Amino acid sequence: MATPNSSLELTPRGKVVLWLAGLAASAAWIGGDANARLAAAMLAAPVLIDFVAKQRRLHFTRVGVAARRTVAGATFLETVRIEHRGRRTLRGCQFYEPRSMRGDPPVLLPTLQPFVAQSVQMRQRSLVRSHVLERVFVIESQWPLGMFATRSVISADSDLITEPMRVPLTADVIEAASQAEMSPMDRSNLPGPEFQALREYLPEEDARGVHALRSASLGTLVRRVVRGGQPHTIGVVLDLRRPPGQARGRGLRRFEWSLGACATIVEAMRARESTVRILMIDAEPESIEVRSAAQLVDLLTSLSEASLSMHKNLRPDLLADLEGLQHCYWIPAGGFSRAPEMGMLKGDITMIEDERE
Amino acid sequence: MSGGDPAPVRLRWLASLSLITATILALLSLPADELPGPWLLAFTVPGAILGSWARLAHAPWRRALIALILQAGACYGALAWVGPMTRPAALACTILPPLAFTTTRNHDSDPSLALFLSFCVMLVGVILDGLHMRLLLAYGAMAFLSLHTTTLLHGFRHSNPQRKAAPMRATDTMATSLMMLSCMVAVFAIDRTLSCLPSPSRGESGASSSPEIDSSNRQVGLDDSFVLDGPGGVLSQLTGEQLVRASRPSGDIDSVPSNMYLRCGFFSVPGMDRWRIGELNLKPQVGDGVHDLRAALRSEPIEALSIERFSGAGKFVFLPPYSLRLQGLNELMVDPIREWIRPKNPNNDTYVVRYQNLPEPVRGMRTERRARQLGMTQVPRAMELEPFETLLQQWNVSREPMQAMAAIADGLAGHCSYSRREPTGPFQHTIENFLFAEGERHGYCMHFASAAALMLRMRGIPCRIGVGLYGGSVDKDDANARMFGSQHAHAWVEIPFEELGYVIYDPTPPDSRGRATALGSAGSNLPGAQSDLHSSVIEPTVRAISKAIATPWTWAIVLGVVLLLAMAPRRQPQPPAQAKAKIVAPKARRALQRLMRALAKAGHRRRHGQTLELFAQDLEVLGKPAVDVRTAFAAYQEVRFGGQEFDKARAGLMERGVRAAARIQRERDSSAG
Repeated sequence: MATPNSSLELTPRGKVVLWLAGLAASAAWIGGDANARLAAAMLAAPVLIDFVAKQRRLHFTRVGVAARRTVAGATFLETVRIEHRGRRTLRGCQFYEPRSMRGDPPVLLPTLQPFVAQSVQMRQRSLVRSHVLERVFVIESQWPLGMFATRSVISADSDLITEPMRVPLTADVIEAASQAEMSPMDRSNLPGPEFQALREYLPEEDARGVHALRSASLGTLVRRVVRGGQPHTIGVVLDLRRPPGQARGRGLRRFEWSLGACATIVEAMRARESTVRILMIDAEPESIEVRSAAQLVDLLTSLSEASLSMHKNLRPDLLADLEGLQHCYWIPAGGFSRAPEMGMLKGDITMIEDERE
Repeated sequence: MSGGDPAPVRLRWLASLSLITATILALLSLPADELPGPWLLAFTVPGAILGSWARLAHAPWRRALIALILQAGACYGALAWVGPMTRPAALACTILPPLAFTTTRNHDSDPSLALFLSFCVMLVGVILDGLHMRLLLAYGAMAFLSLHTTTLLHGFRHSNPQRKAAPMRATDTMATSLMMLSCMVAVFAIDRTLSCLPSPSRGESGASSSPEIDSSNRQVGLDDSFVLDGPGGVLSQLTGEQLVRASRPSGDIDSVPSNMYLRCGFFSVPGMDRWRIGELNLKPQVGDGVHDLRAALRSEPIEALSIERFSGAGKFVFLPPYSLRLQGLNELMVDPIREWIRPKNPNNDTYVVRYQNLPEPVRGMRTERRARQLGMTQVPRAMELEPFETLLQQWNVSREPMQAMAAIADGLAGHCSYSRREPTGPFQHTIENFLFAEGERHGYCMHFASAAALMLRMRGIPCRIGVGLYGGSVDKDDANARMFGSQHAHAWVEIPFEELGYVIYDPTPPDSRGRATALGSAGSNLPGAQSDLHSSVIEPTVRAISKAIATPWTWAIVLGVVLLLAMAPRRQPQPPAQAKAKIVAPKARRALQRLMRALAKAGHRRRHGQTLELFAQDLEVLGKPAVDVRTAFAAYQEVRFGGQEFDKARAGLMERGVRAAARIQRERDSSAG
C-alpha cells in the first residue's frame, strides 16, 4: 500500500543556509574566530532543528479512494480519505496525485491527527485515456522550518477508468446512417422519415433539413426533426491494426482521436435508441453488441484499455455479424484505411477519419 | 500579501511582525556611537517607504528614480546633521536599504532575503559592538519564528487549503515555543561543538586543548579583540564567575577591602596594539611551602590574606600589592626581581599571603634605577611621539613621577571615556584611535593603562602593565571575604619605586574599574545567608552542571545523540485498540458446543461458515425437535449478540435443545435398526 520509507532532501533554502553555515564553520576553524563560530552556529541551528523535528513518518499514511469513471481531459472533484497511522500529528502536509493534478496545486492538510481519518476533495483531471487499478499519491511536507522536505509516495487500490475524449463529428457523418433507412411497411405510404417537430438549426447540420417557410417567418433558421429514419441496428468496425510495415510509436494521435470518435458515434446512436454492433479488430478480434447502458459502459471500458495492435489479416467469418446491416461505420484507428475486408460488407460504409491527418 | 492570499490573516500578521521585530533587533545591535540615529534612518527609511509603496511595484524605473532621490536626500540630511560616520559603519550601511525594502515589501521570497540580511547586520553589530546576549537571544527567537511562519505561509500559498485553517491551539503555540527554545540551545551547542575543533590558527599554547581558554573570549573577562600577548593571553584564560576567594585567615575579623588588587601577571614590552611579557629569569623555588618575596617595612603593620582558587585560576598565583611572604604553595616558578610567580603545575591549593598596606609614594620619591635596565622605559618603535608629546604638554606632565601620574590620570579622564568597546577611528593602531580619534574617544582598562604607561615612559618614568583582578564582590557565605570572577578582570600600571617596590597606579576612572560583565554575574551578589541545603546539595549540583555545560565535548556528544535519535528507524505503531466484542459467557458457549456435538452425533453437522439461522433452517425438515433446537439457538444468540444474561431459563432452553438432538439421534438409530 505504501512506500517503505519517506525520502528526505534539502530544499533550495536549506542548501543555501547549509552552504553558508559550512563556509562560516570553515572560517571559524581556520581563523579561530569566535564571531565566525557564532555565525556558523546561528546558520546551522535551524538546519539541525529542522532535521531533528522533521516529519519522517509520512509513509505511515493510508489513502482510500473510490472507483471512478471519467473522460480524458475532463475535470472532476475527487474525494480521498486519508488516515495517518503514525504516533505524531502531521502538520503542514501537501497532498496530491501527480498523474491527475499536473497543473493544479496540491491540497494542504494543516494537521493530520494519528488514526483519525480525514476526507479531502481534490480537483483533478485525468489527461490520458487509461484504466488504472492503483492510484499513486504523493504527500510531502517542509514543516517546521523549510530547510528539508520529506516526501512519501503512497499508492491506493482503486479503479480509475479514463474513457477516450469525445470528438466533434460532422453532422453528415452522424446522419449517414439515416440515409440508409428502409421504410417499414406499417408506416405511411410515402417513403422516407416522418415529420415530427421543428427545432433551431445548428451549424454544421445538413442544410437540406432547414424548413424554408418557417425559417422565413421566424427570422431564424429552423429545421425539421424527423423520426423513423434511423436503422435499428448499426455496425461499427473499430480497426486497431497498424498498416503493414508501420513503425511502432506512430499514429498515436490518430489512434486516440479514433477511439474518441468511436465513443462519440456509439453514444450518438444509442441516444437514438439504435443497437450498435461493434467489431473491435484487435490482436484478438471481439464483437460487442451495445443495446443497453450497461453494455455501453462495458464498451467504453474496453475502449479505455485499447491499444494499437500488429497487422493481421482478418478471418472472413468475423464480419458475418455485420453483413446483414444496412449501414456500417468503419474507423481505421490504427491507420489502416485501405482494409480489403471493407469489401466484404454489403451495406453502406462510412469511413470515419481524423480530417487533420 | 494580496487580497486573494489564501493564508490566514493571523498567520500573515505573525509572519510580518516577527520579521519586522527581527530586523529592528538586528538594527539595534549596531553601535549607536558609530552609526548615529540619523544615519540609521537615512539608510532605512527610504527603503521602507519604497517597500511599502505598492503602487510603484509596476513601475520599476519610477521606483528606481524615487529611490535614488530619497536616498541621496536622506544621506545629505544625515551628513549635515551628524557629520560623516566611520568606515566599518559605512560598510554595514550598504546592507540596510535592501533590508528595509524587503522587510516592508514582504513578498513571497522577501522574508528569506530579509532574514539573511538582518543576520548579516546582526553579525556586523556583534563585530563592531561586541556580543549583547539578550539582544542576540531575542533576535534568534524572532528569526526562527519568522522562518517557521514563512514556511507555513509557503504551504498555504502554494497549495489549495481544504478548509478554513483551525485557530491556533495551545499545543501549537507550545510546540512553536519549544522549537524556538530548541533553536537557541542548538546555537549554543553548535558553537560549543565547533570550539572543540583544533584550529590551525591557535598556537601551541594548548589553547585548543583547553576548553576554558577558548570559551572565555567572548563571554567573560576583557574584550577578546584587545590582547596583550596574542590569542589565549593571560586574562582570556580567566574564565568563570568564581575564580578566586580572598578571605582573612581564622582569627582575623577585618574584612577584605573592596578596592583590593590581586595581580596574576604583568607586561613589560610595549606595543601600539599589543604588549608582551618580556624577558623573565625564572627559577624553580622548591621549599617547605614558604616563600619570602621581600623584606617588610617595620613601620607598617602586616596583614594576611587567604587565597582560595577555583577551576581556571589554578595556573596563576594572585598577590596583593606589597606582598611579603607566600605560604601553602609548593613548586613555584619565580622571577624574584620582576615579582613573577607561577605554579609549576596548575593546582587549586589554598595559600596565605602576607602583605603590607604601604602609604602612597610622596613627591620627590625616586623610581628604581634597576627598572631602566629591565627595559621599563622603552617605547614602541612604531610610535609617533609627536602627538603624544602634544598631549603631554597640553596636560602639563612633568618628569616627576607623582605629578606625572596625577596629570596623566586627570588628562585621560577628561580626554577619553570608558566603554567596553574597542577604540575606533581612522588611525592604524588601537592606542592612537583611543587617544587621537575625532569625536568620542573610548576604551577600557587596557587602553587606559596602555596609554598611561606609554606616556609615563615618554617622561622617563619606568613602569609596566599589571593584570589581574580588582574589587570583587562580597562572598555570600562570609561577609568578610570577597569573591573574584572573570568579571573583575582588570589592568593597571605598576611603577617601581625605591623602598616601596611596585606601586599600583590605576588610570582607569574609579567607577569603571573591573567592570567587565559576565553571563549571569548578578548571581554572585546574592546575600550571604543561605540554607545548609543550598550549600550541601544545590550548590555542588549547580557547579557540576555548570562545569558540564562549560565543556564543549558535552555539547558535541549531546548533538550526536540527538542526531542519532532523529535518524533511528521506528516501528509503525499499532492502531488504537478497538472496542473488543463482549466475551460470551463461557457457560453459554459450552452449552452450544454440547448442542452441536449432539446434533453432529445425530448426523446433522453444521457446515463451515454456516450461520446458526441457516443451520436451523436446514433442520426444519425434522419437525418438532427442530423447533427446540431453533429455540436453543435463539437463546444462545440473545446472550451472544443481545447482551442478555445466561440465566437459568436460557440454560434450560439450551438443555432442551440438547435433548431434542438426542431424540433425533434415537429416532435415526431406530429407523436404521
